[in-house]
Amino acid sequence: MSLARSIPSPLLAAYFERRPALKRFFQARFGASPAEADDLLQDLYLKLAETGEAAGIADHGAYLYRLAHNLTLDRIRASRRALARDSAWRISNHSLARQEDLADLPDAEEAAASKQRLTRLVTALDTLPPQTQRVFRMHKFDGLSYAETADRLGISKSAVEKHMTTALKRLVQQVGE
Amino acid sequence: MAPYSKDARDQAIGWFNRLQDPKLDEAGWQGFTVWLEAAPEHRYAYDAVEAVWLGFEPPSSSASAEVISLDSRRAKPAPMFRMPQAAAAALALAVLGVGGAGFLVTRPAPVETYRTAAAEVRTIDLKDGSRVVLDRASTLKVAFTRKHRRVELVSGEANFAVAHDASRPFVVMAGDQKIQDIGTEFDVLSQAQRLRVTVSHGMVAVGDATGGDPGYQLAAGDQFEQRRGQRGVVRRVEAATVPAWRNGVLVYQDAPLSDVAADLGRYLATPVKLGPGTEGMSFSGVLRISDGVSMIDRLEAFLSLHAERGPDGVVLTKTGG
Repeated sequence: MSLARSIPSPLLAAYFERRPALKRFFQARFGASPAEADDLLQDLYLKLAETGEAAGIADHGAYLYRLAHNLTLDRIRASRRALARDSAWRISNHSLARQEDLADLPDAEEAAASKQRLTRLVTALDTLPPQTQRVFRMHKFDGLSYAETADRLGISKSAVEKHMTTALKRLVQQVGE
Repeated sequence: MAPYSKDARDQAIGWFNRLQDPKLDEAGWQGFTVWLEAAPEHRYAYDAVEAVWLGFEPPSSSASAEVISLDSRRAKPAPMFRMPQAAAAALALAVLGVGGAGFLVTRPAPVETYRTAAAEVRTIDLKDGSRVVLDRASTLKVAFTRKHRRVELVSGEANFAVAHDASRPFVVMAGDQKIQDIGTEFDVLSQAQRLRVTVSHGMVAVGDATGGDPGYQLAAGDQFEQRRGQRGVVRRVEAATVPAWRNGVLVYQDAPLSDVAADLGRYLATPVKLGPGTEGMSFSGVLRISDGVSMIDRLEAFLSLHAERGPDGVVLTKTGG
């Protein structure tokens, strides 16, 4: 139980208190089975042990949910990477093993499709009005929060939200599944 | 992915916006959970929004991030940040770093975008002395740095005559393939379902952008074609110095009708699809490149097809039962 010692007790207490709620969150986000959700909770616990407690967390619950949500994003990224790695191997090797029939590999298609999707996303982004593009790029590529973006551009936070809504609607429509 | 309604999509975007607030409180997160639980389509819709959001990140390791140039703006001269792990070579084009809860900031190298209209063929003289002829309705991005000459054929067709520079390889990205010029003149066709490279002079290597393995080496008169999901094929073609489209014609020999439809789709700037009766049809002949409508008319006449024009594009079906 040496890990338990490295997690500050208020945060640890908050974790155990919210464990059922966090499990429910994982199940809701992924449609995960109880076993899969338990697996994610383990990862969350480990993540807690790694990151420790940033000084002065006001809302432990929100902090834990945020960590859990980041975990879900990491999972999605990891599965996309795994697909692409798989595909890269196959594509780079098929010139050597021409007997292989790549047509039957759905993974390879999906991974190639995700790279195509990136190109299409960027092209679709280009079609948005300039200010909307600006807001989207600042938030996505420069990592600014809505509040920071609003500050930089001298517009309101709700204006930033409207731009993001416009951008996401268009992108999901044009390139979404 | 599974379907969802427009409502669900709009709600998902609303939730996405709320989740972006670092100060979102516990009650907010609980509300999100409840919304996700309310209907499966809510989860699907949120998956779609997140897929777009995450879709801007390169799908695999940083080595393949060089594949896509991400910013079409000519930025004011801005400092270039280095990613700690990526090799310098991978930074020539805009690259996103992923780290924890946020995203590393990287300023893109200046990228120039060229887009031709439906009836426009444009010759572009690049700073290194190379010349690109960009076909109609095509999009090309150029990102030159001190160490790399990188070009991306986003869609359409282009003919490249590459100036020799041993210190800076000239690389064309198309789809998920990387075309490296070892010689001088070649043609690239890049469509969603198909990549085709034809070499007129010199040598070209075509391979997957993620690996170091070049894959195929093509010499003058070789043509490489790869359809999505299939392995590439190399064949010999007449080593014309100038591809047919630059003479204003498209030449087809036993070409699957779907290929012709894809080409026409580009000139028409609207999708051209195949309808009933067209399965397995092929086309041999020459189409003069003019406005897309006349080209469709000609194809209709050649092959006894009927073109149904609708809001979503054109559908070609066989006439006469």
